[in-house]
Amino acid sequence: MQNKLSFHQSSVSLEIIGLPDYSNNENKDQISIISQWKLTIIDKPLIEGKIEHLVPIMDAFYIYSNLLIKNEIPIYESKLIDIKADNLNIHNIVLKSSKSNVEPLILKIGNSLLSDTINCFDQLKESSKVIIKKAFVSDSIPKKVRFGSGNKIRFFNFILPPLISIFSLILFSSTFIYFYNPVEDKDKNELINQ
Amino acid sequence: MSRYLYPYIREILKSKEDLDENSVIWNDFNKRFIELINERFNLDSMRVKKLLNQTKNDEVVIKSLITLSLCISSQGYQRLKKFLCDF
Repeated sequence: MQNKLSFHQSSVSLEIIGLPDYSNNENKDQISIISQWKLTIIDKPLIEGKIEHLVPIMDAFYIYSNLLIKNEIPIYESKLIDIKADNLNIHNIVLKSSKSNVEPLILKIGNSLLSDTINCFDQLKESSKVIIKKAFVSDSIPKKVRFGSGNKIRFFNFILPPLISIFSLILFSSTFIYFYNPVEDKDKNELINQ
Repeated sequence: MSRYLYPYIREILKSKEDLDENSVIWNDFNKRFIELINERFNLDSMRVKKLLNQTKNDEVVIKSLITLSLCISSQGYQRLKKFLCDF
């Protein structure tokens, strides 16, 4: 008998079906071997798949939402899912089947459904009853963002001010070489001494 | 706080999605938003003037609402915090 867990957020619900890993002494009501998942969005076709599909789809939604907030052009494309913004309010999702003879499923969702879906994924991640094995987990933030401009900017902010001050001191002081003639100065001193 | 306001935030976003059918909530929200800015912000600032322009403030308002709606859980809050700190 498989366990079922559901996560709901307004018009979206996510159902996870699977078994506990008894070899890890897990409780009866836990799920760590996910056999199937179903994402139900009201008035939209049912989305379902295996664990291999769940993690990339979750990542796609997370990355897309980050791009949306970051004021960049929100486009996410992968082998499994494409998400593009039609306009500020409507998002176009294309789910591609791994089977060659199945046509891609196209969904248009608004900001409300997008945030419902992401909140369902958040609930799943927060749940202690569902364990998504590390083999399937990849970080939700793309590499470009994780090691991106933030650290570089912080580094440059740290290193640039002292470098600029040293170089400006050198430049400024080097100009005095042209104005100051040590030989003339020596002569003057000698004259004064006499 | 956004956790408790989520149903309202969601309804505002939904209202904006189909303005032809249900524009009341969006219009009320936008009206109140502008009233509050008028009361509390420095109206000489160019940025504030842009916020007050009803034809151009949609993007800022919608993105602010989406940001709020995405951090209703602690998981969402932590994810956004991590993301914004790296940004």
